[in-house]
Amino acid sequence: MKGLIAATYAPMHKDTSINLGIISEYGQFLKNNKVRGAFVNGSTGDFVSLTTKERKDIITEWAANKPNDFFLVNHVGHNSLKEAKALATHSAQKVDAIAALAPYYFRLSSLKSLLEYCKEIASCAPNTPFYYYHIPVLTGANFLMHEFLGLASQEIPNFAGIKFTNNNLIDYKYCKDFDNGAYNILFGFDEILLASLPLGAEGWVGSTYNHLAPLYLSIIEAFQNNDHKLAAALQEKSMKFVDTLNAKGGFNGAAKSFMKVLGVDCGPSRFPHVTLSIEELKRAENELDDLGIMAYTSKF
Amino acid sequence: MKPHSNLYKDNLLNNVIPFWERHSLDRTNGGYFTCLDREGKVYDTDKFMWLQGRQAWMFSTLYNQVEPKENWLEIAKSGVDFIRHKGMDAQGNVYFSLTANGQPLVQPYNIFSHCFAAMAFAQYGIAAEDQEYKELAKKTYLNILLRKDNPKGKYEKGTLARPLKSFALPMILSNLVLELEDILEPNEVERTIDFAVREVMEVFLDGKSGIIYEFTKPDGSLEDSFNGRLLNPGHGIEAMWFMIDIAVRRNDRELINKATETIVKILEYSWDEEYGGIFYFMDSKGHPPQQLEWDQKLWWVHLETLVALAKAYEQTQNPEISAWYTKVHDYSWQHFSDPQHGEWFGYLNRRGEVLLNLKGGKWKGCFHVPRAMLQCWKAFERMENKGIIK
Repeated sequence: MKGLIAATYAPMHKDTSINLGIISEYGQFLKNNKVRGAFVNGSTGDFVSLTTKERKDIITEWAANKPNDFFLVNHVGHNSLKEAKALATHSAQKVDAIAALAPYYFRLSSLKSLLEYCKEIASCAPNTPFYYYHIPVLTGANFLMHEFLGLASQEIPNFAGIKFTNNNLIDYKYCKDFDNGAYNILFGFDEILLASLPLGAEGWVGSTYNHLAPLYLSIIEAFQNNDHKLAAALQEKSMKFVDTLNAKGGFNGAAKSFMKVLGVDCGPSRFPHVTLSIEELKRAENELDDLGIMAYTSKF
Repeated sequence: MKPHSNLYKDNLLNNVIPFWERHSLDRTNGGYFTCLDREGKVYDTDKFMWLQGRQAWMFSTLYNQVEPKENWLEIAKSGVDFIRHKGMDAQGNVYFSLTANGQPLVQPYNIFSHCFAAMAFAQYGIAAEDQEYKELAKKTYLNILLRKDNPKGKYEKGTLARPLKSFALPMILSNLVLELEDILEPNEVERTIDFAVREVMEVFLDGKSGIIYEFTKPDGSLEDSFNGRLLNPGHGIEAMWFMIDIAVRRNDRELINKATETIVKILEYSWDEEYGGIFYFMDSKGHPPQQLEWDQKLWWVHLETLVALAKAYEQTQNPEISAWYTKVHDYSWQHFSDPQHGEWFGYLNRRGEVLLNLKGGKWKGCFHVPRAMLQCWKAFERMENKGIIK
């Protein structure tokens, strides 16, 4: 699994029921913009607001309609290990990989408990690559991942890598180098993608790959051409994109709403995220246009 | 060029508008019947929202630009009320068609239904000084802008395997935004104009051939497929008078010249040397077009061409434009106009014989004929006043 992987939204109808009908088009939209895969039911996919049945329905629809040559990852983490295992079992034959983030209500206090949690889930889909989803700012599971790798590589036969959503680049580099690069460490911090490039990153998972795939591909290209000034200027656009939408009542809801502007109407967001009105969306589009960002958006 | 302002004015006020006033009003349900036979008798009562919006816009525009006649405002109101109360779903999307009494028949798959509704709401709001309709116009307009990259949304039948973008949308936006100019923020107007002019003149206008393509790939390049090769000459020419209007507003000589040049290029390409008239559809490589009606001669194509040529001549006094105007004028007035029963025929076969003698239907309503008459009347009046035409 390489390249840009979009953390996808849970498309909804106006009444916030799940809109499965748009998923095949959504997948094709990503593929047409050179996104290599979808990371479904994650933080961006609002898994915390979805019922288990909804999470299953969404991934079933993705599996039935995914574009050719396109990675599909299902996030199955849950505060209830029982639910997480049920989700893992359900998607085992449907996806290219499963991922889980740590329980976040009763937070984990040791690497050992994290290992147990991941091992239990991974064993429900023994033939499917398993990724640990490291996002300490939201889970509180603030462990060093290269230490966790030492355990997981021994204990979990289908352990494949980490979705690394943290800005600890030292830890990231150690993970990349672990066992001569045996594990796929996907970088998960869109606004500093550029910083991951000299460290050897080859795969990225994030929400703004839904909106700005051409921008990130330009950053990678500029870096490869040794045009670091340009790469930094482009990276700044991605930061501004996040700031602009974040200022509209919160990034998650605003960015989901913004998909409508790009031609994929993902519908409203559930509590506590906001849903932007057409006036707010138009204003956001104008501001992003003035910042020179609209030219880099994914095209329908 | 001969003075023609009276010809157009007289036809508009004493022939075309009375025809619609007499035959199209649905006094029971509000809105309009548009399926009218040669004499104006109603032969089908369904209501197509494109034409409801267009007729409401037309009567509002007459009220705003010609004379504030109460009767015209009432006719316009009957249309906008019908669209607002019957023609829209809960999310404010405009259905494609309804029964006479307002039961939806076809889902709101067509973004142009929204465009014509927005135009109608805006001009009616201005005419009646009705704030609610102005707000509704603005909302509908923003909805269009946000849907422009995927206009059909969930009603899109095509896959994304071969995405193409359509000329029709930037084209209509270039006209729509001027219709809503008094209602929108000034910078919103300029932004949309910039977008529309860029798309029309730099993306869909092909630098090599100098003509307008109906579809391009998302990156603006051409595609060798039925849709990718499709030319709709009337569309291209109509868009050029939208461009001239924008150029006049912005005092942009370069745009005026480019648009004028493009009108000539398209006419040279699409004029039927054998029978006269402008083809409806063509294939850019001369292959058989997909549209079986490709060689018909349509009323709107010729009327929009007359408007475009009148405006281009007003701005440039280019003799080439004058020659084309005479040619198109003679063909159109000879073949489409129906002095016996009023209004114009819509559909001729390639030889210029009347193919369908309807005056209105699913696609022909109270729009292209009266709008072109009004535009030509005003353009010639200005030229006569300025002494451009003696």
